[in-house]
Amino acid sequence: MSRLHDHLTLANKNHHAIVCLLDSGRSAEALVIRHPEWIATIAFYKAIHIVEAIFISRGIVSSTDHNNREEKLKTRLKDQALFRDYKALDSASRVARYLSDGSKSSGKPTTTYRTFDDYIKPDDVVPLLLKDRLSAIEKSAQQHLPQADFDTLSKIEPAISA
Amino acid sequence: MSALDFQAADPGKKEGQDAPLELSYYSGPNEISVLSEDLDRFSVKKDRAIQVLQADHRREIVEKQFDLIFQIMRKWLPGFKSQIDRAYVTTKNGCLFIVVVSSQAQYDEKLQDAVSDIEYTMSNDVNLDLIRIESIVLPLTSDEALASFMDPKTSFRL
Repeated sequence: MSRLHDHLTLANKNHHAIVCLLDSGRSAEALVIRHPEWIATIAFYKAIHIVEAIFISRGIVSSTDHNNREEKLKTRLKDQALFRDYKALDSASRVARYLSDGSKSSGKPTTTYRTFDDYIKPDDVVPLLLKDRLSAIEKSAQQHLPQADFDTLSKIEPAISA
Repeated sequence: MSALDFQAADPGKKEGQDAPLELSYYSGPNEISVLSEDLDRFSVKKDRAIQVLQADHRREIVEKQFDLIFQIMRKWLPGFKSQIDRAYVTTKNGCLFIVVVSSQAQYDEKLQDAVSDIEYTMSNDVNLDLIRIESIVLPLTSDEALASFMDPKTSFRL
């Protein structure tokens, strides 16, 4: 995959998956985040496709893997603010997918991580990951993408404000 | 004098064969302590790490850059002493992987950004151009839970 438009299409598919997960917990009274791990993970994958679209726009060859993408983000694109937001989503998604501590099963309160809810409370997923990080990545994309392409990117801010 | 000066410390302490090798960054201004019986193990792990970094053909320079990264991290970590429980250097997919364990279970936004910044800075340092660096900040957790993030054959505890 190498076309900018293809990456924006995939970014939008991830966006719609996030919206579906948010809507599944939405009622007239409140928004209940039921799948915070998946929201964190899909937010990261949306960020990946935004970054790949930016690379194409900036004439940077598409990435071959996660390491390669990160290296290009740091040393070719050199957008430190974007890198920070990308890394925060990367770390959160890795914690969501790979960090599991079965050694603490006493049932007593603990200060150590046991589940993703200890790391980011479900109610904080939207402000910390979607608003602070994913939305910031989308705003950074505006500086790097042609306006017509940027306009086709589904933005998270309206979805979380709804 | 090498980039790292090794100093014997706590000779009674044993390291498990696959446990991260413990280095102390509080030992002195230009020294990293390695337990005396672990000096050979340090060399073996360092050799393995350099092999993983796939830079044997420029080994001397890579070794100096490897040591420089340790020194940079040793200077950087004490500035976040209250926010960090422990930190490791290991390898992952041909990269040097810095694993920072927070002192709390909750996501620490400031620590996350600080670690991203030191990774960004080192990655753009022309004197570290042969080693690709990655990092992650993890919440406070057990050593067992960290296993999926670490290669025990190339892990050092900072």
